[in-house]
Amino acid sequence: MIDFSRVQKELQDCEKDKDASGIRVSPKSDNLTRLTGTIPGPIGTPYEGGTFQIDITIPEGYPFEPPKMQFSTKVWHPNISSQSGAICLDVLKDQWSPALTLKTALVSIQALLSTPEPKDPQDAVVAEQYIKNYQVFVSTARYWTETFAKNSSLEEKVKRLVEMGFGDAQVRSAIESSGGDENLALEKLCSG
Amino acid sequence: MTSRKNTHWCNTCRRGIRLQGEGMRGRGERGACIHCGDTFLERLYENVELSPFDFFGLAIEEARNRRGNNRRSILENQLSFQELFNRLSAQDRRGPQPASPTAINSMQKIKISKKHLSLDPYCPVCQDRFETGSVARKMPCKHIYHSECIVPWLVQRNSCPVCRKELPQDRNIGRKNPFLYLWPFRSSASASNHNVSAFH
Ligand SMILES: [Zn+2]
Ligand SMILES: [Zn+2]
Ligand SMILES: [Zn+2]
Repeated sequence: MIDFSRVQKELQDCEKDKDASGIRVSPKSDNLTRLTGTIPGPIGTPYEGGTFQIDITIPEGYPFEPPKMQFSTKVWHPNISSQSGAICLDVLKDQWSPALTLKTALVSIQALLSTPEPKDPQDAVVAEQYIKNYQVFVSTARYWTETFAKNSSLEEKVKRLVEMGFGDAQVRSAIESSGGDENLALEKLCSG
Repeated sequence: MTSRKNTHWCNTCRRGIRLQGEGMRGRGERGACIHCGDTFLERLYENVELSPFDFFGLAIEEARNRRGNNRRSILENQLSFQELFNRLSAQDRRGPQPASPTAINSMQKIKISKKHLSLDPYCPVCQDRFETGSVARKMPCKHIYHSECIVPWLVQRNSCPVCRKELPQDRNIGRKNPFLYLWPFRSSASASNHNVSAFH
């Protein structure tokens, strides 16, 4: 059985210093077995400015088994599959310890973004590019960040505008009529 | 974490589970794992002497209590032991080494004092505050855990969750089958009695 009281406590701890760490964890379902982690791309890397979402599944044996994590935001990195988002990281595998937490795992993933290890690749194509043509790697990674990690989903746009005080249905139709452009939708909502 | 602790360890799934209605601790009643339905569970004791048999607790207790008058239940347990055994050996070849039962058993028991609370107020595994006066386990590296939080980890892997230091390995035990010497069902009754007494 999953130790939900511990997962609950971890969520509270993350919530407390989310502004300092930039790391968030929020439940996807009521029973806390599926969560979404969010990490900011580290400064000084091709991931800077991006916001990366990570799908988290809490296994039955948690915390004696590691949480399952994979990127849902597409990312170009030697240790992350550009196709599936699968992450090659020891603390999510044999170096897991029950004293580690969802947050420490996400911090490790953030550190992995800063320090790729192309010799132990998850994505062979990316790793080869990293080793053979670093400049091309950097611009590809940056392009992917721009394209995939800065675009917010419809639901995120809806959430932000609803938080500003507009009605849900009103927001959705404004976003739709402005072709998904959040700022345009906001202008429409404000003007009338 | 007083009300939400795992009460049992499922040997089939190899994880802690919590059985409902654990308040009534009838000897004869035995629960089934909520995940696999198996009854090969052992109770995770708190504030109670932990013997290596607690890993196989219920099974051995039953074997002891019912010796002679319920061969079938013993036989069933024996099958489960065989399974556990194969599993452990298989894991042993690839995966991490578990701590030896002797090492786990001899891990220091401490009564939580105010001093402990000022140094390490929380159990690193369940992240609950230790209660003053309760019993906890202290590893040689001085890290402190609830029994039910550290034992399920150590039977999986000999490594302190915080600092990764190991418990001392028992040199008498073959590396292939660390639980072999605990095998409780010997052909001769005296051998089995001898084994049981050795741990009490
Ligand atoms: Zn089970
Ligand atoms: Zn604990
Ligand atoms: Zn330690």
